[in-house]
Amino acid sequence: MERVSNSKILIMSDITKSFSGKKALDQVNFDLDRGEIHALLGENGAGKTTLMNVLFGLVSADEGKIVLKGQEVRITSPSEAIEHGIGMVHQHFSLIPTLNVMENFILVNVKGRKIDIRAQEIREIANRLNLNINLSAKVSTLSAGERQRLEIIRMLYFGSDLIILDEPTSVLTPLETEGLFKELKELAKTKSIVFISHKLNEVKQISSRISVLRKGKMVGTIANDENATIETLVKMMIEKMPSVIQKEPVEGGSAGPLLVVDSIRIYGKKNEKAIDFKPPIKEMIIGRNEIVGLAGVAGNGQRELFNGVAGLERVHDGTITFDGRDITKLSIAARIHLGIGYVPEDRLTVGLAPDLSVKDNLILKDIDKGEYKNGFSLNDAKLRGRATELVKEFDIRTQSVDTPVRYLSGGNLQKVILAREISLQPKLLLAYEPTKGLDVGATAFIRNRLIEYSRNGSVLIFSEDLDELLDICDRIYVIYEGRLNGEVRRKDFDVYLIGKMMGGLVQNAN
Amino acid sequence: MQTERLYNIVSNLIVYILAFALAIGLGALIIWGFLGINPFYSLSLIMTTALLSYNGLLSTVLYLVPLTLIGLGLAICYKARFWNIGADGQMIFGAIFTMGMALFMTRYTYSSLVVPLLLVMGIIGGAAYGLIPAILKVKFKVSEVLSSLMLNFVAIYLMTWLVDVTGPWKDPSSAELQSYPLPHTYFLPYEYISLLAITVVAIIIISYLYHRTSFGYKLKVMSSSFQAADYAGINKERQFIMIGAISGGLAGLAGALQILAIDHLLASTFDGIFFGYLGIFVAWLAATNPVYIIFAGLLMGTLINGGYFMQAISGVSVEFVYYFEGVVFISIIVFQLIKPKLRRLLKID
Ligand SMILES: Nc1ncnc2c1ncn2[C@@H]1O[C@H](COP(=O)(O)OP(=O)(O)O)[C@@H](O)[C@H]1O
Ligand SMILES: [Mg+2]
Repeated sequence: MERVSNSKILIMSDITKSFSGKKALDQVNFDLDRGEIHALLGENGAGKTTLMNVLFGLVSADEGKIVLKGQEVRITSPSEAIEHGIGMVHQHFSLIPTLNVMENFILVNVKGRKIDIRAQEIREIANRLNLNINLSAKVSTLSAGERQRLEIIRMLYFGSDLIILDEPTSVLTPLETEGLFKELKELAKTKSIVFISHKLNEVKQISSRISVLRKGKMVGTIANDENATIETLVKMMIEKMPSVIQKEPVEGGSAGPLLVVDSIRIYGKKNEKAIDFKPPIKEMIIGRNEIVGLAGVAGNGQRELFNGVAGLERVHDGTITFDGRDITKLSIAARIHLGIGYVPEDRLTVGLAPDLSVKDNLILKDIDKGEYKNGFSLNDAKLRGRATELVKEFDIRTQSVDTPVRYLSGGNLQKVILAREISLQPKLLLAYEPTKGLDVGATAFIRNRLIEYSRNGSVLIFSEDLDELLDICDRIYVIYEGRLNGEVRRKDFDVYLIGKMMGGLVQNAN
Repeated sequence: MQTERLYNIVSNLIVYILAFALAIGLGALIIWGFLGINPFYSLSLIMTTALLSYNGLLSTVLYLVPLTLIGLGLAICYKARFWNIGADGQMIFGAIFTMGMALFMTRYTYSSLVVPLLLVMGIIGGAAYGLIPAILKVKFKVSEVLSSLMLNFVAIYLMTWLVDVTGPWKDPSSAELQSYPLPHTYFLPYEYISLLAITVVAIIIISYLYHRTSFGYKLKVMSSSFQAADYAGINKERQFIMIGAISGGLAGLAGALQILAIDHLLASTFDGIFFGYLGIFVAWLAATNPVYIIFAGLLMGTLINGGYFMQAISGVSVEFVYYFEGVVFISIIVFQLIKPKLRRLLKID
């Protein structure tokens, strides 16, 4: 039976876990008070997810003890964890894409409650959270943000009293994040929450205590008061911080534009116009050595536009001219060959082949090149050499180049993609949310790489983080409902103006 | 990654042992309960006859070879999620091409190049036939499951027509529905050694293609994620075409060998045990790993060959082997589900 007198709902002590001989967790202590929001902070790969997976029964610890509600427990599966009242929203989604929203709820049976009651309850939870969900939409048609929302609602619905959120805001828009925080504070009155994040400002904003993990070791737990400054937390989190390079501004281009996307139309899955460029701004132009940003709320056609330029999506109307050539009808391979690199939204199934090794993924686009062949065979030594170099150059943290990429953490996955794309020296790099979900160190690293790269090529970047675009871009286009709603030059950058354009409130035709 | 690999091997091994134990156990009960025959005696007959007697072992080879060749080709198909179930038709087409060429040449000449030429004809016949579902898939988005299955029937009818009473290849001096016989000079020399050598060479070539060439590399990318393959500019259509040709060619080679080394003529009863379908089981049992295919082929070959001995000696029908195959197939699927539990038991994460 529960011992109510105990203020700690959870005590984890001396948790150690090794993967293939490497310690992912080393004698970690962690505890959670009833009704607190406890932030678990750390860089990518620090072991945050692993620690919580131990609690959730997904990973079994080599050593250590878990005391839950005053009793020592052994949790060996997520279903046991759910029975214990533990709920976890994962960083990577665990929904079944071919089912609709409602069916995903019904999958886990909650004490025989009737389906119509459930729908009612789900709607209530969703409304309280200010998260819109359409219960009959198929999960595969939802955006990443919508899926994340759904996961949160689903877990609340299971009635957990200890809630783990693994980087929940990484897919939410700023407005949604605000709403989520409000609800979390409300929830914390009755429930205990572990909030995993690497975003310092969020952690400061939401938590009562902060625990910092670094390379598998618990650096410390501090109360979130005036002593817990951003500087203190950064020092706890990382050993050394890369300095940020400044972009040298370019105005227009001397050798003519590199990319012109003119009056294109792309139809989405349901035959609606996902992209429809028309006057007043019917063209998107990218000059040489420019970093051009695309601002907009996710779901306004960014994905289709990037896929259209890369050749992954069919362009139904209009033309795309690259380096003076009409590429509208060219194959993906031909566009890669002409010099278009792409860092796609979905890292683990589009940008990478998850079961293949770091090495095989780094050379994904080199495979047909003569220089890597010995007659009919692949020159494995040379490919391995190239992969090893890239791992070093881009500081990709992996046990070896033969590790399947699906074992890498988010930041390292992104580094693998970026290393491959940049090393191919494309003329244009399309970067879709390149720093999304990454920690401060990895974000700074990737931004620096993009800026350095713009000395030789051009970049089109989409980011939901407007500050990021303002920091590194020469020019920003705003996209709203599939059309270009504004174009702003660096000297005219203004957060409020761009924000309004993103909401479709104002339009400018330059 | 060492522990990961070890874990995979150990847990797969356990899954397979459980599946076989279940099939043997259930089978023993059936044999004993319904037929009243001593199950251990009849089951042990499979092993002793098919593996431990010289003649039994030789005839096991005759099953092992086509099963391995076909399984090898299907393994490649299934890696790329190209669901070819038409190996049967492709094998028959290989046999038809080989036999046709042999009949055509008997009118002319003999040379030491005849046998290799006939083997190549078999490969061409099977490859051409394997290309059809691949092209239909690539050009017209026709499901390869349907097209390759339908083509199996087409091949069977064509073969039956060729050797039918009024068929063009029918040997009028024979009471059976079969073609003119193959001249002795066209027989595969050193048949058992040649059969095994050809099989080993095929395994080496396919393993090489899979592990060392860009074709194999692209196959791995496709097997991991079609979207990643598209993104990387990999021409999936071209891969499907090559896969169709290669797997068809291997099945066709099996057909040619069946004619040149074993049957020495084309009869309407050719491929009476449906090698093409058994090959699906072989590919699947070997988890589509080219090197494991020969073991799966050996296992399947032993079961079938031993099954005939078992039928002759103990009276348990050879169909028992197909029961066995089915139970193993289903239990492997079921036991795969308990793998996560094993993972925890073995304390490997
Ligand atoms: N299943 C696994 N197999 C091997 N290594 C793993 C596995 N899961 C995590 N790791 C490794 O453990 C370390 C910690 O990862 P993780 O807990 O995901 O970090 P975080 O959540 O803090 O970003 C990383 O080096 C990661 O590569
Ligand atoms: Mg994590």
